[in-house]
Amino acid sequence: MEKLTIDKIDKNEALRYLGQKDDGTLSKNIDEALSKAIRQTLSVVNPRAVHALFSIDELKNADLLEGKDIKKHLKGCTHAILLALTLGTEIEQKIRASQAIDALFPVMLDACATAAAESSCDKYSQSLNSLYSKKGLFLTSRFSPGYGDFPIEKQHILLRLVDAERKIGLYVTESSILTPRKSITAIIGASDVPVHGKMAGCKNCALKDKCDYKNKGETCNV
Amino acid sequence: MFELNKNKYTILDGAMGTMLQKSGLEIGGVPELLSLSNPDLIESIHRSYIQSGADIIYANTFGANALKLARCQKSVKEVIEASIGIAKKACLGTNTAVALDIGPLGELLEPSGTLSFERAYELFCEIAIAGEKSGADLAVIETMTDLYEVKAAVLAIRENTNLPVLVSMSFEQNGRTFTGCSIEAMASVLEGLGVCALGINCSLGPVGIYPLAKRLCASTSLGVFVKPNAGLPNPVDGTYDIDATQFGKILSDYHELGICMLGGCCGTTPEYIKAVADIFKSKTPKERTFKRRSMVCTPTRIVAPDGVAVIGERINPTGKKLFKQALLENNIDYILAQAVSQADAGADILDVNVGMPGIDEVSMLKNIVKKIQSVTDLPLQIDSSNPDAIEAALRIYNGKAIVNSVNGEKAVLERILPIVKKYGASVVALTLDENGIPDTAEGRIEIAKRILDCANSYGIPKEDVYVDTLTLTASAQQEGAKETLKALRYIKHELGLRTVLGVSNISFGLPNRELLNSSFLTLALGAGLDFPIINPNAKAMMDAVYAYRVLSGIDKNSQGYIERFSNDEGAKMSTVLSTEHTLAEAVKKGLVDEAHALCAKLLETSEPLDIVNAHLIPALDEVGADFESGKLFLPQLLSAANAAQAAFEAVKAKIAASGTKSVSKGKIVIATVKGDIHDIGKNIVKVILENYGYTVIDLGRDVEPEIIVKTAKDENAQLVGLSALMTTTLGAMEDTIKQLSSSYPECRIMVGGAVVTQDYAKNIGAHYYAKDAKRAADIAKEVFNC
Repeated sequence: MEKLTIDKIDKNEALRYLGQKDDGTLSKNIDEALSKAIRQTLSVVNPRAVHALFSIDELKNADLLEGKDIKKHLKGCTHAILLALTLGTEIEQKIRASQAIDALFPVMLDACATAAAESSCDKYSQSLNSLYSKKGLFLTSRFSPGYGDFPIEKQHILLRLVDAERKIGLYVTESSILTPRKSITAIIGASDVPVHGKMAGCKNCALKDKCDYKNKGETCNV
Repeated sequence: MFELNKNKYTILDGAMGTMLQKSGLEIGGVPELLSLSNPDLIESIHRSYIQSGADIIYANTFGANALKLARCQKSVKEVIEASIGIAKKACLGTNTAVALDIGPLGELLEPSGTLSFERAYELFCEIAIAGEKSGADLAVIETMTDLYEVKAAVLAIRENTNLPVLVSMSFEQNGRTFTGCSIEAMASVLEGLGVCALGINCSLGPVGIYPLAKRLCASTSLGVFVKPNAGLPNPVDGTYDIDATQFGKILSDYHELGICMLGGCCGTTPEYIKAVADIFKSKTPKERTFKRRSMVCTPTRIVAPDGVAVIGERINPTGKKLFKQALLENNIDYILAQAVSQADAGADILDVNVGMPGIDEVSMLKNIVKKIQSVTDLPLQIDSSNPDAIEAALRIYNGKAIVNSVNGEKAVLERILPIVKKYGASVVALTLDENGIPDTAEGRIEIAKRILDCANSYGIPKEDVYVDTLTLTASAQQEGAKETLKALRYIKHELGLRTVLGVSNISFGLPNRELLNSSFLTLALGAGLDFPIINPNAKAMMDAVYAYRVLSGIDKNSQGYIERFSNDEGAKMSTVLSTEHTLAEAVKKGLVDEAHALCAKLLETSEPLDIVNAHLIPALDEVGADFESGKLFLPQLLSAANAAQAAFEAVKAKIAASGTKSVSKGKIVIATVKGDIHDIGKNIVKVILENYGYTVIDLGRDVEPEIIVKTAKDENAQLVGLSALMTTTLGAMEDTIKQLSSSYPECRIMVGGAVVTQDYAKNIGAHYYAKDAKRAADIAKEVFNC
């Protein structure tokens, strides 16, 4: 697969991560700062991704699949693709540097980086779709450790299975935080008949008691 | 013990992992454990590489460290002993040497990760000591992507064993590792640390590594080796695309580069190694010419002045009230802001000096160097007269630094130069000695020569000695300026050494200092000054540097100059003060420069505390209320916080100048708990609390409960704020609260973070739950009753 690149960040997406709930009223200095944050983020992110295909049995043997939600998601799948993606460490230095001299800008950079990680991951998932559809496989949506009741502690196993440390420089701390921080891991179900996966829903979510989306009757689409 | 012979090709082995997979290793398993459970398999793989012609085999110890073995009840010593034992057994009766193979620890080091340099060093010590005891002939550090981790490993091996050290790192096609380390930085730092050969392994095939190996050969006098993968992997099935014959054929081109060792990495088998051995055993490595350059670096940035490299002088307490106060209060953020603003202003290197009475310079210098390296990748100049502080800082510095300074005094040279040599740094040589500063250029040149000879005797090359011919004050010794420049010119052009000079001394006691400083700077640059030490935020000084770069032909097509001055008009415009707004309005609208200027103006007629209470806090309250009611959002809140912060700077400067008591309303300690590294939310809380006039002691992220308790007690803080973002780190929050409640019960505790709720906060014994920064400020008002 060709090298993963990203050339734009959706401003509205970044604003969503910043908690901005209407979009028509940005003052000039905030709007300009956000445009600058987008430019700077794009200049320092270096998206790298890796994936590997496993049979569901292999994943069970490796003790990766735990909880009801991931099992529901993989229902009907014979295989699953594990994917891991990181934007690298340079963006983090940029955020730390801006923290030393500004209150708003580091938060903007952080939001832009989150948006960049998500859209890089979308792009990579699309290329997986076309790669595996040629081989006659149908894929589900992505499901990450920490969604629903799928324990975040499974990051360790997931990363080891795709050799993420060696292939893309992605690590996990003892408390299951991915480092570099702007990184994503996920499981995508695969089958030779059409499958879609099932989203985790709010029931087992760690944020269910205070989620802004849920309070408004919306969803974060996980 | 292995001894590298650069006049003979040394053949290295091929992949261990690939061979284990072929034999059916379970996916996700720990391959090092096979040395205990299936030693015959490991031995047979070693044997097949030896039979293929390997002169060195890597023992099955790549991941044998305490972090990776933590979950499998086997000790590092046990696994290494078994693995080296098997390799030695396989080598019996041959001349093949056994390498203790050391891979990455498996966790990212600080500042992007949580593993500290000191902890990494300890982990590597355990490996190195066990490896030598078990009889390894050498140590190989391989597949590394973080130069900082390599430094910890090299120090661990060199300080605890007699094993020769080989290091190979893994690069992407662009010549950088995952953490951004360049080949040239790797070579410069590791040659300085005394390793015996450098290499590139893994990640790419022999075609991809070739141009990188060429760069490595041009960057070091050491032996160079490669261990490429068997081409590139197929993304679907993981197989590699180059066979053994092709592998040998492509590698034969490497002969031209002047390397002296080769082998294979992922995807290679004994067949590949045989192909390589067949080609290279009959050849003799080519000799290489290597031209050493003067350079300093961090992993991601190299400064090798072919022109002028500006050393920023602002991180220094001498004559700076606010800076001294920041050091005494351990206000690291103030110092970091100085670092970032100098970097933004165009400094190439930052001088770091934190020496002043009442400060533990050894721990402060070390801490500040670490912190500065987390916010900028500019190389640093470690500025101290305390050898222990210099050593502590050089040890944890990531890259090749400059030590400022030594002089011609024998005792100083004997104390400091061994440290400079050990950590591979450059050093500033002041041309003075126990008799003071010689009046004449000749006297200073004499001292420079003496220092150079002494440096050479310790193995420090002339490229790493930068001479300072010392600037005297023109108002006191007018002839001095000429002598300084005369000495500088001679040392640069006749002795061929790099030169460094602080220039602003020249103008003491005279009017229009800036003019004298920039004029003297221009003369010095013309005389051959490489490293001016100046304030990069002083426009006239940087202008002079940019102008010199044009006139000396360094700035090709005047590109840098044009860039610097194309926006100059705009910059002037923005400093003109608009009188449209009140201070409160400027804060609410987030107008940073205006808020600062308006506040400074008010300070001419009002008391600092009155301005805070009558202008700043009401404005912040209004913004906070609008945020709470959903009229404003985080960006507007923080924009106002920035403006309030700028106004506060003016207040603080006024207070520092008048020497009166600060306006602090109370002390609050905040931290992200142990194990958690999310700090965006905590930082927002900090800014808002500071806006309201509280003194915030920010302990950062991943903070041990003990440190939080100790700081809160020592500082007599009435309020502690804790943040945790993950379900996995809530336990650490609970633990911290327990410790605080038992040993410092009078203190109030507030908690917040994505997964924390009101109920949970109550359950774990917190007094307050802060759902956002606005609420944190309200809590502080309640606790301090102001």
